[in-house]
Amino acid sequence: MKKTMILLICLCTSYLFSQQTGEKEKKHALAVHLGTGLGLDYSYKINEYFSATARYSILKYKQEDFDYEIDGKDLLVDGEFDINHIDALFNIAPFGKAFRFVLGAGYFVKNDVDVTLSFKDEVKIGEVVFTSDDVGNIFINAQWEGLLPYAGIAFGRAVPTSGFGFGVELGTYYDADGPSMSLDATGIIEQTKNQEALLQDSFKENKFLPYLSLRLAYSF
Amino acid sequence: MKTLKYIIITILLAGQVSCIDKKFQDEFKISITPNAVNSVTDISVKNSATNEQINDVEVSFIGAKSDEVYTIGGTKEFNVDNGFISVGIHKGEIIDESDPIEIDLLLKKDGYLDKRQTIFFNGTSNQLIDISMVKKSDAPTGVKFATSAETLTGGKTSSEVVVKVEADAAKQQELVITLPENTSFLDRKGNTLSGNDLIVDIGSFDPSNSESTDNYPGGFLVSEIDTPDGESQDIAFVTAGFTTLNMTVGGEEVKSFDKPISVCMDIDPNTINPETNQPIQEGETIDIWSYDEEDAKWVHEKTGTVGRENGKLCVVFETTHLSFWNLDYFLKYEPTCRGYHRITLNANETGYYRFQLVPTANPNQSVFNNRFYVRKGQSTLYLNNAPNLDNVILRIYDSNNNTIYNELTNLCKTSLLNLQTAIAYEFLDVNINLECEGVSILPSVSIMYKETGTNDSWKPYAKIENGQSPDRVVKLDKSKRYDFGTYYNGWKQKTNVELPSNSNQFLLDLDLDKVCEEIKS
Repeated sequence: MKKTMILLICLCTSYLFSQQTGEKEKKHALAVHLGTGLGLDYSYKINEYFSATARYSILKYKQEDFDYEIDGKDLLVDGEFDINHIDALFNIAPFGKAFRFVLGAGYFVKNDVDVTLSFKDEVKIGEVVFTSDDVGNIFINAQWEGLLPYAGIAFGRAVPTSGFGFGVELGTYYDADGPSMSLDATGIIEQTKNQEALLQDSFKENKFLPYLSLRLAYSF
Repeated sequence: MKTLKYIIITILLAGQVSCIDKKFQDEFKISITPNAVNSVTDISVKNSATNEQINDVEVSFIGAKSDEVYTIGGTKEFNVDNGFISVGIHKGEIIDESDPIEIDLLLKKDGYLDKRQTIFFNGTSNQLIDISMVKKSDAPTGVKFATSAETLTGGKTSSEVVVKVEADAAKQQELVITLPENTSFLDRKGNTLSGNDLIVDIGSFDPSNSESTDNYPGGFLVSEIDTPDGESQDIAFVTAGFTTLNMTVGGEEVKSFDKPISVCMDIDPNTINPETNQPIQEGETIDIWSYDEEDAKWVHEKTGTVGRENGKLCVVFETTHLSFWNLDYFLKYEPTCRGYHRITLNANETGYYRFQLVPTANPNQSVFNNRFYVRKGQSTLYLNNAPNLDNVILRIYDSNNNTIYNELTNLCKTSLLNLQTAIAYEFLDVNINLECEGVSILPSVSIMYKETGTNDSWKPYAKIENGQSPDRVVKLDKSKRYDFGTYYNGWKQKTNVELPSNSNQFLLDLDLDKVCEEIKS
């Protein structure tokens, strides 16, 4: 109770001080962010504790040929992310400082994660050799589409008090149903696609889609 | 920057993967279907006289793409096991359905005539080819051999040598060859053979007997042959008899002579001349052909005239080289069915159906004789090498060898056939899955069957495709006992089952793990 009183006094003092100095308060900020996506956002400061943010973020990334082992077989994995979302967020700074909670929702225009698995080594049936290309590929696709709630924590004001401000944010989107998974396969491993149900079942608990970004904002 | 990328990816992946149920990691299996070959073709090799399955046969394949032939297990070890071998085309070879791969199969075994037969691989895996081989010491009805040992002087005949295949109750036509005095013998390279021990080995094949005509070298359908009128043409032979002539001098194979030898072949008076549709007459002509074994081609040698010797019709001709010789008419046809031709089949039972085409001029010879695995209901039959002929009879036999169709039919002009077998069988269900443990291998194998104690060919009872239980089985007769087995690079397991009289289901106790062991090895 004592701490809360001190906090309220400080907040009131700070507000009165800014009114008395007559300095125009900066309520708008534009920012670029980089992390699990590259994007822009706009924030509006309601008061010291609350602000609103509209954010657009995109992530396209491809990583090829990293080693993985499934079912005792050495595989090469190609992974590709194609994520594209618009977020509406509400920032709560309980201390009126840089630390804030971020709540809101993201609309995923596109959110594909494609994984392609191929055999690292050739397969031999009798004297017939199946090269990696002959063996075929396994294609896994995960999709989170639609409107997903978001929660995160951040350091750095959504609207810097003066000019530039730097911040970092960590959060997650939440999909109660988990991603929609699909599985396909070609070549002599084509029958692997019969395990799509197992894949879907295994990923249904994968309800969180993490978000991390470094943010550089400019207030005006 | 690169480090940052990895951090981002790691966080994303960690976020995803950490939530994955352990179930996925434990249970997800990569399933391999170890089908090393396409267009799997089952070949049944039997003794022409006894129908017994033959072992220890030397198998080779000849043709432009013969290197692409492998066993069902992907090896080049072509072992005929209890009269059975299963082969196909390397999985990587693309098969154009409209232009099937044509490869000659050559079978050799001591004491038997060599057998060469063309196989068409069209991408489908439903054909069973019956091949009969003639054992010289136990020839089938209508086939007879004669052997004679002569002594030469200075590598030449000292007097006229006559060797004869006598007619008897099982062999109606006689064959006589006459070697003139002072005949020298040459090998394949044209060198004169110098030994003095001459062995003459000749055989005669009647045209009026299917056991005999089944052994016609290369089959009666011949593509792009030079006909007597100078055209290159696809033809179907209609035989009036054929013969094989072999000799050795001092153990060396004779190929030719310095003087022509005389060959006299009896003609069955019931032979129909397809040009007149009447029995053959004295004074008519017939074409004489020899078989070039190196190129596996029939060559038109000359035209013979039907004469009469000792009251019997015969054709006498001279030759300076040895091979198969035949007296044949031929029917020309347009090659429209040499590419695949589709026929819709409506079958009321799953099973192996034998399709046979016989010319009206000689219904004892098959110009087309193939078994196809047909599923109950509607299916499609792809024909590779059916002649586009109107004057042939189509005979279809069901799994029990009952004739279910026997009509004048041009298969190339047929788009629909109804296969209606008599419902003389009981339905017997089977539930077999085959997934090799340890590794996720889902093989495709056939469960074969044949009636116990008979010389029937092994035929597929059920097909396990990619490890899955078959959706169709052949119906069996409860009153009979059957042998069952699995073939995968040789017989892996056989069992004998007496079908239960009070149930439509029975336990088929086959140790399919042996198939897995073969695959893993």
